[in-house]
Amino acid sequence: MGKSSKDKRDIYYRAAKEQGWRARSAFKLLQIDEEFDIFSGVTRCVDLCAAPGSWSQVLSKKMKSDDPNDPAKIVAVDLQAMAPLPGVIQLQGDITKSSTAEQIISHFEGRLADLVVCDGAPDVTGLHDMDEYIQAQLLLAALNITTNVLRPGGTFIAKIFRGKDISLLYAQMKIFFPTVTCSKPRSSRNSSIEAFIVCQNYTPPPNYTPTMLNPLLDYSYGEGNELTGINRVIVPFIACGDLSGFDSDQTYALGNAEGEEYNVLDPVQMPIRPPYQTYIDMKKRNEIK
Amino acid sequence: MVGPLSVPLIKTAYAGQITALCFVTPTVLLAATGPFLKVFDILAGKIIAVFEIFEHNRIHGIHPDRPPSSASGTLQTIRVALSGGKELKVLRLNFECDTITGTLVSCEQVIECPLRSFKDWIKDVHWMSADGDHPSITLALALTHNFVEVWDLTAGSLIDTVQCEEHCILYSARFFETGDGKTYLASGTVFNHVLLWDISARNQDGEGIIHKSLIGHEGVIFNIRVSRDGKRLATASDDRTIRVWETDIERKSQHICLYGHAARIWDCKLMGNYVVSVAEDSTCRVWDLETEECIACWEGHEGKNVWGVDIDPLANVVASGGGDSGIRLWSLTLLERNKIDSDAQMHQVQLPAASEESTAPEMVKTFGLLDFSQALISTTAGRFLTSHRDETLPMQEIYADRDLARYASLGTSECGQLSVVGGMEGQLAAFSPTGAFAATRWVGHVGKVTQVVIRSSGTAGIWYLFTADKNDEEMYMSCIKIPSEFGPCMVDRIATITLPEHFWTMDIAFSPEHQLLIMGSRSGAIVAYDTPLFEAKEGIVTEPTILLPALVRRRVHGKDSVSSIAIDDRPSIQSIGELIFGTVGRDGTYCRFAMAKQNETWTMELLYRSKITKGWLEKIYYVEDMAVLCGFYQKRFFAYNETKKYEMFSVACGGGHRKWDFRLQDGLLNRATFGFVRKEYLQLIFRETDNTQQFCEPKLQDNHSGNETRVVRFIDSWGENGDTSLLVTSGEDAVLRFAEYDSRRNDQSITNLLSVRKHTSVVRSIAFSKGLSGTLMFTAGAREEMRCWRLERDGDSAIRCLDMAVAPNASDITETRIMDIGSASLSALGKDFHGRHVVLAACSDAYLRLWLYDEASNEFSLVAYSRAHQRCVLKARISAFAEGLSTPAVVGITAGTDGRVMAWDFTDTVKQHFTESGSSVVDLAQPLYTSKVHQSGVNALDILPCPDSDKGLTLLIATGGDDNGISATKITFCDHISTQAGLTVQKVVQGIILSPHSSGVTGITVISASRFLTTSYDQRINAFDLAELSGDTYSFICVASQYVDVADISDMDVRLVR
Repeated sequence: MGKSSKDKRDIYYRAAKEQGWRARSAFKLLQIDEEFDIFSGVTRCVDLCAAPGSWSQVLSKKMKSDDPNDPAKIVAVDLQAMAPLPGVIQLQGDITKSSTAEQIISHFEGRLADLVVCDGAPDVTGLHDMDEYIQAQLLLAALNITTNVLRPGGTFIAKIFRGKDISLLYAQMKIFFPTVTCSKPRSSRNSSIEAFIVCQNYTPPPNYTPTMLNPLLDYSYGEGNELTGINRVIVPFIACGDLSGFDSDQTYALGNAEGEEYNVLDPVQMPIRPPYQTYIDMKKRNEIK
Repeated sequence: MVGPLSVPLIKTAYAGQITALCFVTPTVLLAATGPFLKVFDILAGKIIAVFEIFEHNRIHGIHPDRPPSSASGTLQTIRVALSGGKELKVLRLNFECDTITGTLVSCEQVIECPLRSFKDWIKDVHWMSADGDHPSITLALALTHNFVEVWDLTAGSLIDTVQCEEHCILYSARFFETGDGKTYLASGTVFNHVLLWDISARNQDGEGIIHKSLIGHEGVIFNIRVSRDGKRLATASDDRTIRVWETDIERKSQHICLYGHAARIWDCKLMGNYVVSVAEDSTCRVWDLETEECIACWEGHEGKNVWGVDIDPLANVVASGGGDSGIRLWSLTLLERNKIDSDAQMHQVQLPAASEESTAPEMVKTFGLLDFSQALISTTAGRFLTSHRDETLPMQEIYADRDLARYASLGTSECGQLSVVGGMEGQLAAFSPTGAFAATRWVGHVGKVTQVVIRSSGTAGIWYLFTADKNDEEMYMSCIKIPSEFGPCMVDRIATITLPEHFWTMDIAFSPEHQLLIMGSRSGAIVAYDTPLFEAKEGIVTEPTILLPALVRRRVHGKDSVSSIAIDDRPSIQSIGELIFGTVGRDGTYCRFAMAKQNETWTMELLYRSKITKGWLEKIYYVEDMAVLCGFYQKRFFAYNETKKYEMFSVACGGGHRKWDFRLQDGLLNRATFGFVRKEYLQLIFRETDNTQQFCEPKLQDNHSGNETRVVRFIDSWGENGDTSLLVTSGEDAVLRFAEYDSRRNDQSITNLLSVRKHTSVVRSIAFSKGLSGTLMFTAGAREEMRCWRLERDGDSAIRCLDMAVAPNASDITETRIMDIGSASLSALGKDFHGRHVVLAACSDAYLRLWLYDEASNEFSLVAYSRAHQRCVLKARISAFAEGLSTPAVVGITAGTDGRVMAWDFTDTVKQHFTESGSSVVDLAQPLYTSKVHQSGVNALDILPCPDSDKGLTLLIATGGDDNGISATKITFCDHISTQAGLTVQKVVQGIILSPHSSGVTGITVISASRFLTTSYDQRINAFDLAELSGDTYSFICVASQYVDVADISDMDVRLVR
């Protein structure tokens, strides 16, 4: 497969490199914004599982504060360190720890965030049920820390896998947010189970006390929560992004109409050290039999 | 009207990932696949019982109440906890064994504890009271958020719960007991650590205390296994290592780190000094902990993953279970016999000491094996000696000729009774290594004899000899007969074979029965000759027949050598009037061909092609019901069982340039001999093993694809038998797989019939059309690859898939994917259109393309295209209709990522293509009808003609979208004879539901005018009835909804069985 092959198959991969985004997922947040206008009035934002940082890039570009004394603040949290971004406060930490929540709030001078976003995904194994479960746990961990750092009325946006138990997650989100929408940006592939949950107007239940002591566990099927049929929780689906824009499934020709040679760009940010880096290094040194 | 769905959906067959394997005795293996637990007896090589455990989950863990029994055939009862997701079920399995053979007769399940659901995903289960007589069942469960719950399942009460002081999400966990009777949990965290914590001790916060952290992995821990004595622990990780640690919390020990797997490692088992691991690189490896070396790498699973592995309690057999649903058995004890690395495992033949007159010692020039224990050696002294494995037997000189000291081309018959040698000056000699007759010498060629090949005649005492010299235009064929009384053998030249141009013969196959001679060349060509019936004419000297090529096929193995040709005479294979043969080449591929004679001309069809190795293939053996291929890769000789798909034997011999020979008695190499010449010495390896002591079937369960399946289709036209269904699947592995489901079988399995590998990239779509003879199948996918095949029945249960044609590329962009195709026969249009078919392709470059396939010319031609969707086209269906119309019409339906569905009238376009000479490709105007039915891509489409009382053609079009919605549109088309303007839309009834599923809809099938089935990534199959409301709209009634345990459903097909 040629070097340009991925460029031809994936227009957003190409566009991300051309526009300087660290990952193609930047377009997903931009397209969610086109539909939901998520940055209006937002000055404090948390980017959970931020690496490699493309969503933080979007946040820093889109968030503008009108008050010079209260500039827009973005706190990006990830287990791994990522390359610095101007205007983004980086926090290397675990989203399941209360210390992480405290640190976030300290960066906002004790105030709560207007928006929490999370584009995190687990190490996908290929055992779909397990992958979906771990993704759901990651989302619940993100929700748990969000209830500690988000102001009432705020917005939470996170990646979800629309698998078999997605209705249970929707039900759980609806406890905290009256408006929950499943949104699929056009830059997310048609064939992927990925979608984004847009939870608006944070309204914790009465007497709810945020805590990080116990993990938030997902729901089980029970009464009123049927596996099948009409009683399941339905959240509306909204495709977002301009239909006249690029199609992530379409194959595009490279180069311009004049037949000018296409120049394959390198990715903006090389991937962070993968778990198999030592293996690759040893392989290069011919140390693997 | 159809009534409500009276029959619930019942799971009847399943071919999915093997998620867990567990030996309970040396011969009884439990396997988890989907919701099913299968019980196998490996000694008998068969499945004994299948139990459906879960309704909504697959089994991820098998946890017996005690360690496996080391005595086989004594097992009577065992309790097993089965975990899957948050669910747990405990069974008692009662076994009945044959008292004489020790094999399992039956297995029945008794439910000890009904299904229970817990609040978190179960990672491991530990029996706290493993006393078989004790009625109570107390289990400790390790849960994903790093906490443990201890349950008395009999009483249904929670006895204890403890959260580890480290709060995090686990990928793996394993309980183990230490010598002091304490129970620990080893937790594999997302932070790459393994934490050993005591589940009974508490810190001041009431949380479990970590006693030891095993730090070193650079990726998450996918699995943890503990040695039987609890002293060592092996971990498998994302960082592609297996690490082995000591559990002793007092000791800070170094760990062993094993690198070798080329991808993530899913599981590993410890047994004595071995670790056996399975990984994403689809291999199973064995590691020696002393040397820290990988001592075996078994490749027997297709696709991406091997998830399950276990070692029997006697450490003889390893079972591996793949993502391809295959279960393999491997012999640990035969490891050394299967992989020959050192000289100590070989016998070096010692030639007699040099005679006095010669100063140079006598060395081996070449050799041939006569049987499993004898070789015929040609020496540098021009002598021909037999050497026996039994070194007490002296070497015997069979023949000698000083003129053959410098050069000898040696051929040996398969029976070992005849050898022929050719020399520098065209001289030949035939002699008997067994001393059955006297040698014959003659001059057969002018100049050096380059080739000597002996083939059996089928009659004892008569052989055919093929010889060649440097003249590359012809070869000679001779007949050699043993005389009735002792004396020299008789040699008659019976034919002169005229070779095609540039044909350097590599191997020869001769079928006396079919009077057909087939030869392969150094540059990839095959030539076939008709031969006369060579009758044994006593004493009559006739002029040799001149054989001219009857058929030449070039580039069968690319430009590489056709290194071996073999006629497949296995009784199960041959069909009447046809000759089946196989070829292998130095391109590493194996091919099978069928030759048949029609009107005095031979035709040759490729039946099968498979790339086996990156190295060379050199030889084919058809033995028993198996095909064994031999070749060389990375300086090793190997023998590969093509039928069972695994490498059985390999030898570090230095490479394929050497003189070598191989003999085998059976397909599993229980008896075989391999020899090769190294530094002028003959090295022999004698192999005598008996796998059947451990298991008789290395492939305990057959495999399917191990990659994502993208398309599944029933082949409807296949017979009237309601009990069986034939289906074809394909996907990411680009292999077309034909399988049969027999409803009378009760082992929940699907039988593989045939795999065809020809597509170079993902296959996304399969469509059928009724051909003039048999069913035509069209397949399409990535790289704009589209092919036509003809399906033929082969006996009662076999199928043939003949490669007919490939469509040329039409897009400017080579990466264009064909997302979907629809096809139809044009016979309905009239006599002129018989044997012609249309294929409508939905392409990722935003085009839909209409192709024509003509059976007579066997060619595809592009008829028309359109860019109307302006975005990636995802779905296409096409059909020819006559009913309700004054003239038959060709109608297509397409849909794309634009969420629109379009209807097209292709009738005139197709007709014009034939009437206008040199017809150009038509850029289609706007469709007949367009409707936006989804917010995002349309991933499912089906159409069904629904004749209405009105005149005209009525089609019901059902779609499913990535937006979780479905739509139904009924369109009535009319045609007008007077204006000849083609179809117009007369009436539309439409309905859309927004969220009938919780996730993208990936399959839809219209089964009647008012009912259809849908499926989605949400793992439900729903059935809807349509009700036509006033105002030309549909309403939907969900009449059935069924959960299915297939994650990520990518396609659905429905076959209605009467």
